[in-house]
Amino acid sequence: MADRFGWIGESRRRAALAWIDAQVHQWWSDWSALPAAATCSFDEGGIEGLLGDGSQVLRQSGSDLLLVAPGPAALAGAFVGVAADAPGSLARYIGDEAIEDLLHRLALGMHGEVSVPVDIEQVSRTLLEPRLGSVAISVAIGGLDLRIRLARRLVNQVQAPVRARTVSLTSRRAASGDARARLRGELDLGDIALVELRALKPGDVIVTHCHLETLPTLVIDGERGALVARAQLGEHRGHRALQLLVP
Amino acid sequence: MSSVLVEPLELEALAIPAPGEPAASLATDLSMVGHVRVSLTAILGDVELPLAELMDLKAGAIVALDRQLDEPVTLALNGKPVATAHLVAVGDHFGVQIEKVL
Repeated sequence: MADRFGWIGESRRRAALAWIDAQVHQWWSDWSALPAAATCSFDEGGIEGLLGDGSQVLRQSGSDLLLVAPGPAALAGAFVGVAADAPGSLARYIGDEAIEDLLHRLALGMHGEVSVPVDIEQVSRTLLEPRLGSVAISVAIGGLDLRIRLARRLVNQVQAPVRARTVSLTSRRAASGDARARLRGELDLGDIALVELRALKPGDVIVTHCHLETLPTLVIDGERGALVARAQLGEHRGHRALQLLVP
Repeated sequence: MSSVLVEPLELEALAIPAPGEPAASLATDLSMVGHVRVSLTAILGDVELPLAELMDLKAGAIVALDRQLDEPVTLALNGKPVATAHLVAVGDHFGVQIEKVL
């Protein structure tokens, strides 16, 4: 049944690719002193593409995750910068530890199992043939070519990392910062009887119940006039002005 | 003890005048509603600010309005402009001297 229904949707494939990309970047920055740009892409090659020249190291986590890496000498060269042909050398040890750590991160990050070295004969058919239900990803970083195969069970657990989003969101406040709001300064003079307004004409003086110490308000212009602040009325450069006191 | 008959009150349906049908105007004398109190507000001026600047306003900030110091204020009754006037002090209280009735 699994072989017949091996299709993995494009969104899940891309999420897996983005997640691998993020993990590889972090892994490389943790292990290498040299910055390097990683290129992660889908790799639809078959078994032949995995085997290459036969010098690779194959590590598998359960039957869900496979990592194919260059041989020990190449790893040592990538991380330590020296050609380390002799088995047991420190350079080889570091390269070996680094690649083991990458697989460990990938496996644990997707709730997989701890990895073990395997031979090609031990690799599950699903991982060898993506059409049966796996995603094949090729990674090039720091002179290393890595091949990663993820079975659908792991792909289903991948959440696309935030850094994989191509558009960063702007805060609503920043996005609306250029919009303009009209404000109004007003002074509540209290209630007044309509009779006092009868036959109102220029020059008339209406005495209000509003004490001189009453503070004007700055409100958002509109039907509801939301209060921005109470303020002290004054003058600023020839204009009537408000100095804000409290919100 | 005397008995009182209590019956439900029956109201007749009111006929709504047809639109456009001539009807006598009711007397509209302001003295009838002279005691009604309305809210009087002096609009001191307006200002337009970018939202970013508005959000950054703090106590102590000075916001200059769009009206010169000697320009009249607008008087609004229940939010509706009705006149322009100059703010004056009458004893300890604000007063308004009407400049123009709108």
